[in-house]
Amino acid sequence: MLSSPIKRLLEQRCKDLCDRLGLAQVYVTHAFGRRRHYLAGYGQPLPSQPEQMPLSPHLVVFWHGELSEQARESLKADLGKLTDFLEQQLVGHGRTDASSPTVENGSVVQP
Amino acid sequence: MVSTALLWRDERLKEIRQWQNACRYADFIDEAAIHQVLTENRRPSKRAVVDIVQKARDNATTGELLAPSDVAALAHVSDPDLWQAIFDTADWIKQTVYGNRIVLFAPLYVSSTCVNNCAYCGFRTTNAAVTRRTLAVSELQQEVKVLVNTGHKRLIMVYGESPDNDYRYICETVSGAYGVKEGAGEIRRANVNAPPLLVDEYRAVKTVGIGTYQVFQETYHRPTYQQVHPEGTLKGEYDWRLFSLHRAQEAGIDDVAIGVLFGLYDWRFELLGLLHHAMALEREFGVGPHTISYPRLEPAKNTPLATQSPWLVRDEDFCKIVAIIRLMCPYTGSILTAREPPRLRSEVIRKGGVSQMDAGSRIAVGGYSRMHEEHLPDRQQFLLSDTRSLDDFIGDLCQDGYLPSFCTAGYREGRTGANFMPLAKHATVKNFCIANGILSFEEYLQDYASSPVRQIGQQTVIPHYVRWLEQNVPPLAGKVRAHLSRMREQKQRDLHF
Repeated sequence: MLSSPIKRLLEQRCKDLCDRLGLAQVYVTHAFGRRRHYLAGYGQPLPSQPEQMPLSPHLVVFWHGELSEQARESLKADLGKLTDFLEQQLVGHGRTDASSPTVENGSVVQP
Repeated sequence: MVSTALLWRDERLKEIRQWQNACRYADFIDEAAIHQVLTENRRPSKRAVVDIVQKARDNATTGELLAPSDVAALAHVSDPDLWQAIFDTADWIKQTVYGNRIVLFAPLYVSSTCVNNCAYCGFRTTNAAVTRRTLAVSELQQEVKVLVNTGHKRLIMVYGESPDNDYRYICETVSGAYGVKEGAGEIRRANVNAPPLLVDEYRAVKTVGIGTYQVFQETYHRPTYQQVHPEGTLKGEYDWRLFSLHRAQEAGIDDVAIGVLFGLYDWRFELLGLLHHAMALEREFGVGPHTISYPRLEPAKNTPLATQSPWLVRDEDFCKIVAIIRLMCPYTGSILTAREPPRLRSEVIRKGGVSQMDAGSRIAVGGYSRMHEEHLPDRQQFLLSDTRSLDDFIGDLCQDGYLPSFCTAGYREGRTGANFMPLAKHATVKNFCIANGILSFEEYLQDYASSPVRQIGQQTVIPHYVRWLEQNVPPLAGKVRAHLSRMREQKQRDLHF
């Protein structure tokens, strides 16, 4: 489970992506077998199947709306900046300690 | 073996009591307050009931819960005309939120070994009349194959509580069920009904990709709870169970399910218990119960309480319970099981706004491998009343105009927890429900249905619901038609939204 500051950071990133790329909804999930477990996101779905793209071994981003190939890369690059951090958080079940990165002023801070 | 189980139980009990001593959650069941609100609303006026019913309709698109006083008032209505209005509203809410589909699943009893001694349960440890069994993964897979070959895609896997079936066993067996492939068939969603776990144990179970985690409180009334769950057993610890789904949420399991075993105590009290539980989950995690279940006490071998409890619920009251649950918590899935007889089930679907049902069920551990035997009383927790085959059941649903659904799309498309709730609370989830219901039903019709069911399904039911999409969600209707063509012409499977 994500801690609140990280969840808010992810929501903000998803909102920025919706605004910048003209998407109806963007959300990030954690893959467990067949389950795509919702972590955080922004927007409302369209009545269609969302598109999806793996970000890392455990993280998958979904979106509702049209994206060009270039825009997909942009989306992946944008969320990719958070991927390592999220993976660490999720493997550590959201617990933080002195060696864990944290969120300050809406950005990830490495120790 | 017995002493190993008892040692395990005692160690487990220590852990449970440690957790309870450190519990940071506030008790949300105030018995005195519940009794008071029931007393204060014993004679609601017609005007007051009409207003509550209207409020429930308004809540269908906001996801608001009714207030405890509203539920108490509904539970005391005696006027048959008002009851008709309540039943009509339950059906209307269900149609508004989920559409006219019924999601189908099968219960799969995985283990009956249990260290608990619950007075109402055929699997209680002192009941020598029932044979205990814990399936090996290979045996479980045989059971799953039988289910897959009838067309099932969703399971609720049911576990006892013993060292043989701890969280590691849950992980192994859920993975085992997902691993079965039979032709085009497979299990796509495995929900779990299992004992309460510690947070780290829930985390482990989460990793195998479960659907929903169910823990029923059985009764919210503490004195009754303590009477039927003896001191010194694991299930005897009320708070451990009351906050079991809080711990599941802490572990990141965000689809959780609550329920009551009606017949242990006053059904009016239990309704308020369910409401307070839903409110507590929403308050703490922002996500209410994914489903609510309302099993009634059923006869079980060598289990006198199951037929002699002073609180047994009459059929007439059972219909009321299901309808009130639909009004009080409009967004939640409502599960009606095959404990109930066919005629009553047909009545309650409509009057209660039911959204999920099991069919073709066997509840003996290993029961599907002996499918031709409807009952195996010496292996069952209780006796089932509806033993229709899945295909017969679906035929009956079709005759009544419902869309049978095997949809498992939501949790595979990330519509879980906080992402699912707004869809259900704002009643837009039905667009997905109907579209995915059509596609999953078409898959059943092509691969498993008898000729009469295929005929009514393809000629009447599916065209009817495609027209519903055309009228209500035109962009989705076109996509569904395209998917149906791929399924029929190219034999594609598992197409969903």
